[in-house]
This record gives sequence, structure tokens and C-alpha cells, in this order.
Amino acid sequence: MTDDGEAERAQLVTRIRNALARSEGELGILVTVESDAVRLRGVVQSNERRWRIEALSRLVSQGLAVMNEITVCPPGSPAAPENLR
Amino acid sequence: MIRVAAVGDLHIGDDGSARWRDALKSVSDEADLLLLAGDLTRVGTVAEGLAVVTALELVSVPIVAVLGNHDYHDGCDAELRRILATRGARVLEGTTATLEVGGARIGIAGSKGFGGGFANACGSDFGEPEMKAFIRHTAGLAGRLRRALASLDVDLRVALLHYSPVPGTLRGEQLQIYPFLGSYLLGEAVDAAGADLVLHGHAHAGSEKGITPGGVCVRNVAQPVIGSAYRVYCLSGRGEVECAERAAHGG
Repeated sequence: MTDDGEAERAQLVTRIRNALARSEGELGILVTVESDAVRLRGVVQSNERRWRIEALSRLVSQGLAVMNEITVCPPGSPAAPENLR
Repeated sequence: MIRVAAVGDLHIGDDGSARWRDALKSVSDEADLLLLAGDLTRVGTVAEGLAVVTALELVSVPIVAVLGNHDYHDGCDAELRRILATRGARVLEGTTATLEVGGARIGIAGSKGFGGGFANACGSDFGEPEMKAFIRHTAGLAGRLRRALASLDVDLRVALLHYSPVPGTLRGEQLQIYPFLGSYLLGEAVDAAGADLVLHGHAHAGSEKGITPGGVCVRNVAQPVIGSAYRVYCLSGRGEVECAERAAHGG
């Protein structure tokens, strides 16, 4: 990727986001391309989902490194109640 | 007091029903009703709808829901409504549900809502047919929401949405995608008709707490935002909900 490849980076972000939407029904992941790496951020409910998103992103990423910063937050115990009285 | 449990963006796929069934099994002990703020499924298939029913099978309190954009993806939204109805879940779209809890009546007006953006950065009903259709879709849903809210003769009124009515609960999202996350028209509808609480989802990277320009509490209950299976909001049966954001807002 060239130094002045801002447009290329934006196109790659778009390709990855479109692939995640079409193949995984996933719209909630923030995808950025910085220098020569793709960075994935967001929250998913399981480790399996986290790895599926990374694997698909690698397929589309033209050999760039993929930094998977997606966190896993399963639907666990309820948050503390909020009183709105 | 009425205890309202709420969550949106469950995104239950073919494989997720057991996880959610376990996560929701305590809701009937901790709340009087469960509100689902859309995106119950990942891509809106019938199989996913059946998985949602499995996820809800241990919930014994009333369930009221709206659909989200993911639930429309496969074109099976009517079938999803029917499947959820077999479970006893009320799915609202410009319609209402009323319940009596401990002598107080709570009314829920629901709509998926839609996008368009917020003050100073919103689409207009102008130009190509597609653009006009986009904004008119939101305006139509907002109008039905307003009329549904206004029709409720209850002690407490809740607006249940998928898209956001205010930008405040979108903080954390990329500013460029706000027009795809909600619309000021929904907030105007809430303020025109009046409500005690607005619940919505859709904005996974947003913030939980917000307020409409008219001073109505807004809560983004998208699962990634609340970080749990659901959030319980305790409301006085007298109405006049106190909202911490109202003081800061000057309302």
C-alpha cells in the first residue's frame, strides 16, 4: 500500500465492512486501516464470533496484518437496576 | 413501582439460543415485564426467529418487542411476528400494548423507527424519489409513534424503538454514521405526545443515557452498551419519572 494510499485504505475498509455485513450479518464492528494493518474493534457475544470476524477480515485484507481488538461480552448477569423515580 | 427489563440487539443466530435462554432465566424474578428493542436476530431468518422463541422460553413475565433492521434483512418480518406471537410476545409497529402491574397501568408504544439524522445534519424530503422515500419512511413511522403514544391512557408511558430518537445516546459512534442510527423526527414525536421513558437499541458503540429536547429520559439498551443480558429500570407507578439528565439539561 502506498504512502498516499488514503483512498486505498478507505476502499479496503469498505470491502471488509461489506464482507462482514453480507457474510456474517455483522454491522457493529469498527474497521480501520492504519499503516499496513487492519484493526478491528467492537463487542461480540462469543469467542467463536470474534474469530469468525477476524478470519473473514483476513480473507479480504490482501495479506495485511489484522489486529483483532474485538472484545467478548456474553449476555451475562443483568446490570444493576436504575431507579427512575 | 414497575420494574421494566429491557435489552436490544440480541442478534440471536442459529447457535445463540442456549446462551440467551440461560441469561434471561432470572428476568422474571427481577422485573415485571421484558421489553426487546429490536435486532432480535442476526439476519432475520425463520430459523433465527425460532431460536429467539427458544431463548425466551424461561421468561414468564409479559414480553413486548419491536423489530430492528437485522430482523427485516431476510424478508421474513411478518413470519417473525407470527413466530413471536406464538410465544405470547407482542410485536409493536405504530401500535401499543398496555399492562397492569401492582395497580398501576403502563403503556408501551413501539416502532422500529428509522434514520435520517439530527439537527444540523439530517436528510430532507427533497430530490430523488429514493431520498424522499427514505425521509418519508421515518416521518411516517414517527407520526404513527406520536399517535400511538398519545392514545395511551395509562399511568406510565414508554416509547420502545430500535433506532435512536436523540444523538446523545450515540456518543461513541462515528459521527458520519449518525444519520443511519436515528432521527430527530422520533424525538419530536416523543416530545409532542409525551412519555416517561424511551428505550432503543441499534447503536452498539453508543452511550446508555440521554434525554430528548423536551426532557424525556432516553436509554440505549443495545446489549454491547449495557454489557449484560438486560437492564432493569424501576419506575414509579405515579408517573413523573425523575431523570438525572433532566437537571443537567435544564429541563
